[in-house]
Amino acid sequence: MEALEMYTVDDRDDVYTEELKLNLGPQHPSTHGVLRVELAMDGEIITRSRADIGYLHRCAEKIGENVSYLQFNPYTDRMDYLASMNNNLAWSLTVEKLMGTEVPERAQWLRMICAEMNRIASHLIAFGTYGIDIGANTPFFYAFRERESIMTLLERPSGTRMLYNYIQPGGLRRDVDDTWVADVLAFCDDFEKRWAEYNTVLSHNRIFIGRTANIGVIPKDMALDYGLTGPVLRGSGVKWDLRRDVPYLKPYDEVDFDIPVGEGTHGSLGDCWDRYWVRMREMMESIRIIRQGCAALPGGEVMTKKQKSMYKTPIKPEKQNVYMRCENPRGELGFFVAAEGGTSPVRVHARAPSFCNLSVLDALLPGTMLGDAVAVIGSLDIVLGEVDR
Amino acid sequence: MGSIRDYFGNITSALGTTAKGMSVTLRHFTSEPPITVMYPHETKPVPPTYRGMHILEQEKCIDCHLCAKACPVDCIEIEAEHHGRKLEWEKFSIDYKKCIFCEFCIPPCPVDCIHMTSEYEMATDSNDDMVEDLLTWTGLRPEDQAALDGKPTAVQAKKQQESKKGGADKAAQIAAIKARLKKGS
Repeated sequence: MEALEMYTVDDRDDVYTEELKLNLGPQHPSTHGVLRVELAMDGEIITRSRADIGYLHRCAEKIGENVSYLQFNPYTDRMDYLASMNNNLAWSLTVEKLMGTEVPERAQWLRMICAEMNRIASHLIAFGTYGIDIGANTPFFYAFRERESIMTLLERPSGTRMLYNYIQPGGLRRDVDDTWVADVLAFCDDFEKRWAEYNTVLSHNRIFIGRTANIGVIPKDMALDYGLTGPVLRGSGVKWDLRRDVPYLKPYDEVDFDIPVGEGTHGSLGDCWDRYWVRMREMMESIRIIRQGCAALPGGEVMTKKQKSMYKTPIKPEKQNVYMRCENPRGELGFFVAAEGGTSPVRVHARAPSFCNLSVLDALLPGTMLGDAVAVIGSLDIVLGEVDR
Repeated sequence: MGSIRDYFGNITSALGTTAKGMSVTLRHFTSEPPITVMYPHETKPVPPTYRGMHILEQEKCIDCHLCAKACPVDCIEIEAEHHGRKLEWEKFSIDYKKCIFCEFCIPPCPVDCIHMTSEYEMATDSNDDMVEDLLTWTGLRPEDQAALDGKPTAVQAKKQQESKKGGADKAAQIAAIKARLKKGS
């Protein structure tokens, strides 16, 4: 893509201003990382925009072609670093599909519980930082307090707080004990009360609604055209969720949960508030899933002895191409792997939800005010580690 | 007229909802205990499964290099000379500039001689200090060890207290880690 060229707006009779080129980022707190948006401004109105990405490119896909299938697992942590569990899950499922591995039932249920907890943690960041973008500081601290509880819980079986590397091809690194399950349920009870507070503090605040409603509207068709996924797509009223439509884990078939979609509560369907509200309700659905998961958690092992041998001898799948996708907090994360019999794949590709969701930004921004650009970027909830990989 | 009513209605609802939100904030301010700790004077406990710095049981290790092979970032360097069944160690170093704490070096070990401790305070001002030779590392930093002999500061005194449990005595520390790992989930 070539850079925007400066030119003057001279097709107006009454007043014209010289078009101003404005850089939003890459060091701007509201771009959630190192995203640079090149804006062409006419006064305070954005006329054109171009998202400039690549500041956090770490060759994750190329690294995948040089390490073994198991060794790539910790690298997936670092793509969407706010939802490491879900990334581990997607990669593990890809490798399992490649090998035709059966995962023990207990591991499947625990995977679901951990992934949903990480989904809540990720949405909490989206909620908290969105408040900061709009100018509300308090929700951020509340969100981080609850995220801290989730991280402390996930730290116990995995050993780290953020880059878990806990879900691994073939099962889980470690089993959990009953006190952990009890603590998770206690967290669920606590979180419900907190969630109601979030809504009082931020969701139903008139000023917040005024800043987000009818801004950055993505109609249904546009959402589908751009290949958006996750809460951004569901915010536009499309009921599509891989957990329900393509259950990649067996337990998702057995638990009962709703898929929140945008309803256009404050005006137009698919505006920033709708996307925000979908995320908020998804947290409660995740709580529902975790509760059912904890109640139905079967016994048994979390990784078979045969699988554990992969730690010593790298696995060698037969020649084939595999694509596996998962519903991440930000949308559909897919891994494409081309195996040719060696210990490492010949091609790894990640279909990153943040990357695809970001593509709609350039179509959303023209015509909006500069202050709303921040609200639009925040509502897409991108993680630059995943956009650039 | 309607527009004026809207104008003042907006202001009223904005003030009203903000006041509601502020009441929640006020309640938290008065009735919720603080959840932060005064680091580094206090630290939060870490679980027994924590993935911190490594520790090696040198007498058990058989120089099989399986941990180095399992490492995705090639941060483990092992050098030893074999004299029959006896090993003459040159080095067993981990480059913590590279290490991503993924724990893949632990499960392949056939003699269970490498473990991860709960040590996570490894900030230093020099690159060379980030390469740690596990043959000499006992769980205490050299400056901490020096502080043990001299007059320790408040932070170091606390560390010293903790380290007395097993930091100076490597065997006791390994035993403690093993006990914790067995207990762990």
